[in-house]
Amino acid sequence: MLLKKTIFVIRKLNNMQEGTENDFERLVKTYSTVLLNKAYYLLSNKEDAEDIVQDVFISAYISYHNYDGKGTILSWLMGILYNKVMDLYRKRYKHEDKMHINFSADFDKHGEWNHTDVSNYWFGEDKSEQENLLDNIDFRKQFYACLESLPDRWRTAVKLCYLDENKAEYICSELGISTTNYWKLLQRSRLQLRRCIDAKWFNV
Amino acid sequence: MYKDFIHIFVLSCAKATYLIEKRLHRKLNPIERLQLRMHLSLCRYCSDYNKKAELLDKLTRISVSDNEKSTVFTADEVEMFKKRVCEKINS
Repeated sequence: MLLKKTIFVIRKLNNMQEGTENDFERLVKTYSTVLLNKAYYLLSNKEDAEDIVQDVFISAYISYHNYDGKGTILSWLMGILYNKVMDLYRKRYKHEDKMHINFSADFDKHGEWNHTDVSNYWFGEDKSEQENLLDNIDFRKQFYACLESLPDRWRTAVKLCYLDENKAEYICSELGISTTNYWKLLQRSRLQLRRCIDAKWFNV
Repeated sequence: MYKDFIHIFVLSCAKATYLIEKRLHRKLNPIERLQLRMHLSLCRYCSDYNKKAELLDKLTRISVSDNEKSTVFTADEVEMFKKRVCEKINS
């Protein structure tokens, strides 16, 4: 590890002396686009995305020696990005009430469906009908619009889950919510997506 | 009263949709599996919801790979960003 670090520092000094493009600049050039896209996906805001990716590069610059060379550089940078997003999330919602998820839009006090529109027709038993929907670009666009219309706090949590599903427990502890509440949050978001698609695409 | 009573034996729809959600991400334990299967065999609404939830799950997965092809940031914006970060580090 020490050797690696020394080599890195020497290489860096050499680069600086020669005034050529250094390792760091190459990192920024290569990975900016993909990190910005991912950050935007998670935060749905360009400014936030730029700020956080800048932070990722600065962290990477400072802790380059922590990169163990096991995974790809991209997955190392993505790991830093996810952690930064979770940090931001925790800080942003620290002062809000404890996660209280209300299901009254869908269920009555006995936990039964308020409306029967959940049974409205989307697709039949035939598999191809479902596949046609999945392949339909306009339908997907509508779905993304519905996804974006979720409250920020839910949407980021949902997307984090889909980026790294096996780490749900880790995500929960980083976000400061219990696993049960996390599934509830995903459940609540999905119920809302269902209603949104019904209203916007199937015009119920 | 009757409804509260019956939910001791059969899940409410609110609980069933919770298990539907959990099943999309995790393996349910045998009791949960049985509870959910029983509920779905009795409740048309939840079994309709279940199919929709699976479709929405697939769509969310697609959204991750669609994002990789996204062009929210223009080439110019990305170039500006790169310049800014490099300047910041070199200063």
